[in-house]
Amino acid sequence: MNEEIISLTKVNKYYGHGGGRQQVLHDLTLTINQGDFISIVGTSGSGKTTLLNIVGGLDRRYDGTCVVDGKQVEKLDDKRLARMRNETLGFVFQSFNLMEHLTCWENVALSAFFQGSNIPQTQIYNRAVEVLDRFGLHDKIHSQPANLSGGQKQRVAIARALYNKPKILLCDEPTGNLDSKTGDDVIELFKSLNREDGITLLVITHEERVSKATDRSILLEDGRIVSENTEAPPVK
Amino acid sequence: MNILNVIKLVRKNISRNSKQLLVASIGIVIGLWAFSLFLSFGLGITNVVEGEIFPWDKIEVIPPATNLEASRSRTPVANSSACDENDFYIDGKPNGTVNHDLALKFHKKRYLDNEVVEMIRHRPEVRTAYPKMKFTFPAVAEGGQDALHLANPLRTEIFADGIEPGTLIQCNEKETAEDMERPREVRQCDVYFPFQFKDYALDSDLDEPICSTSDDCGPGVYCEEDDPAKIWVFPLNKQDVGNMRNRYYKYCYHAIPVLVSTYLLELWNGSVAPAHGYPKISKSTLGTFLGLTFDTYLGLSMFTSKAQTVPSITRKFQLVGISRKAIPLGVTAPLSVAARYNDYFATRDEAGDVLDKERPKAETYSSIVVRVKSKKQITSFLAFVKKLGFTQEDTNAETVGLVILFITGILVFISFVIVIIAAINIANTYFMIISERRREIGIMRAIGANRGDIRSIFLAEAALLGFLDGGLGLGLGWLTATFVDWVIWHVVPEFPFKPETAFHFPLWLVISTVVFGVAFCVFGALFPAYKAAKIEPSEALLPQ
Ligand SMILES: Nc1ncnc2c1ncn2[C@@H]1O[C@H](COP(=O)(O)OP(=O)(O)OP(=O)(O)O)[C@@H](O)[C@H]1O
Ligand SMILES: [Mg+2]
Repeated sequence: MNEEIISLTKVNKYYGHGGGRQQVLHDLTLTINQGDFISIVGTSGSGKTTLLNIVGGLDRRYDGTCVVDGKQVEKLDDKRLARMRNETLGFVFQSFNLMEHLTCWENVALSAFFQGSNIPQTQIYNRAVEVLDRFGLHDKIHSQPANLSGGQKQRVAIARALYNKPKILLCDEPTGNLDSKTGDDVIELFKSLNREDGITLLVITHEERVSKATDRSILLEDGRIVSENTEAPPVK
Repeated sequence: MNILNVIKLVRKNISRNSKQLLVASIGIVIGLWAFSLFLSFGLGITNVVEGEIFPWDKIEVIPPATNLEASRSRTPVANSSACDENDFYIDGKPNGTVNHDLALKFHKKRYLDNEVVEMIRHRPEVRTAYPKMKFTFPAVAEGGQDALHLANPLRTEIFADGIEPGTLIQCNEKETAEDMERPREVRQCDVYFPFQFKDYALDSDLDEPICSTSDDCGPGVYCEEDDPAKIWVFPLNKQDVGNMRNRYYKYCYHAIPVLVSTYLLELWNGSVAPAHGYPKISKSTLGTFLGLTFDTYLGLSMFTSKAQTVPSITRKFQLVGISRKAIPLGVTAPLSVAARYNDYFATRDEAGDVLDKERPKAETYSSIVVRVKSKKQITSFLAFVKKLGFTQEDTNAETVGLVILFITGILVFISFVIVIIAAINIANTYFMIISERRREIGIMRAIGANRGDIRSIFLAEAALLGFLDGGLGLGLGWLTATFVDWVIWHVVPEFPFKPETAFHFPLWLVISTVVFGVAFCVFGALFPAYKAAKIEPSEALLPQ
């Protein structure tokens, strides 16, 4: 399981133009293997989200090289990149980002909507229900997100990210909006996804209990990797 | 993308912003409402004008105006065909335009005779052609007091012409009953049962019994002073005319059957009847007006006291049908009747001698009514008419058609302006909606939407909105039209050619209204959708 799945080489990222130009990532080089469970920590504004966006193919305006699942991100065109996000990657956000006008299962199934082929409706529904079931949301299949608790919402969001069985799950402060109890549940969920499904997890966090749960913790400071803490016990 | 899923997603998106979109749609709906209403009105009115008032396919060929002074150079109709055929038909086949065109090289025609009728009938553009002959002498009609419940009979100068009975649809009992039930525009019978449109003088049995009153004669037959022009002999000889001046006896004559035009009927119902308090001729009273007889003084005029060279004749005319083929203002009799009286009144001098230069009045036609097969062929047919040396009766149809087209065009243009302005409104609304949904766009991009997908979602949403708007505009237009029709029928007083419906919604109009709705909404959403697709996903996902 030591195959490279994410590899950044000398990535520089700037925001703004001319005098207001600000470098956010400095010569960032980083390698993540398949099956890793990694946390990214750092102060606010240190560039964590920026890094995640680059890895996730959400931001292509950077210098350097970023290879994800064997594909060089900056060389993919819009369609291929979208396909990679659809098939290989899953995203989880702090603020859940569910579509309030769709039901839970429709939210979960949304990525099927952007798949190239014409998949039968029942197959889409069954897969959505399967993922929701796994996270104990069977009775919420037809609920609107507005009627769910924060923890339930985040579980729906995770279910959505997992709908297409991604290899990599990218999470930006997934527990930021949750109380500690439900936050712990989510951490447990991540652990099991990592252990049982072999999903590579990249989790941005402020919380020590989250970073402690991961195999490796990357500390960012002003766009530079300051330390890669591998103290956390390998759980595998 | 599964099309059903797209519709579902897009429908949910619309209902989410339903209030905003409803407001933005008002302009589109109003524009399309106006579009469908104005256009269907233009089409409806055109239908009435082209179908009833000035049938588009009807061309009346007339001799050039100079004919009045021109000296006569053609053989008369009655026996023209035999000798003319050798002149014109080189290979002996009287059909085919080549021969007719060849004929033109030899003769510029001056008069409308049977040969011209045949030439016109053989033209490829022509569906039907029939000749008409005007009465070239004055006539006064008197009667109607029974039908109109009047103390005194109505007396009026009338115009009249004659057409071939064979060109008319003479209906039997069953057809008559069916036809009378039809709305005016689609009636087919020219002559109604039990009447017949024919020249009774041509019947073999010519010796009318002498009578003193009509009771001696039997039904439909009236006791009248001797009609010197009763017999079809061309020309009447001098002695005949002289003999007629002594009228010792009265004879039983069949009434002369005549038709009035649908136009006259409309004028009567729309203007004359309401103005004078006379009964209208409607579906239910049509039967009582048919068979109406009135005395006609042929050769008399209410306007001039100028005496005819020959004595006047009094005959009963009987209304036997209402026809599109009848003279618009006047009555139409069988052609041979017109020819006979023209011969009697208009072709001879005071001594009763036939004047050669007047003979065309009784022997050639005043016009040939042509119905062409299609609108496109009118031009080529008129060119042929011109080459023959004839012109067309000006009906003003073209002018009226242009005016309608112009007004409809302006109204449709206005409705388009409304729709275009409304499309800008749609664009504004979508710019707003897109900034509202910025995050959503980011999420969709994150889970696998490419730029094209985002664009398609917004355009599909606008298309569905446009479809709904188009349907709504069309529906409102149709409702308005129905209401206006109802008002025309039930509130507005009678007027000539009052239509059953003033609107016409052909399928293409229904489809184009909806298509315009879709097109303009998509047009309005085009720039916003492109803008939405251009947003970088990382920026779309930034917290607001
Ligand atoms: N779209 C942007 N335009 C300009 N500057 C930006 C943009 N996004 C981020 N930045 C700047 O880049 C730097 C890094 O931002 P980033 O969001 O990556 O930080 P972060 O580590 O995720 O912080 P936080 O913990 O608050 O989420 C910050 O100084 C921020 O102001
Ligand atoms: Mg961040």
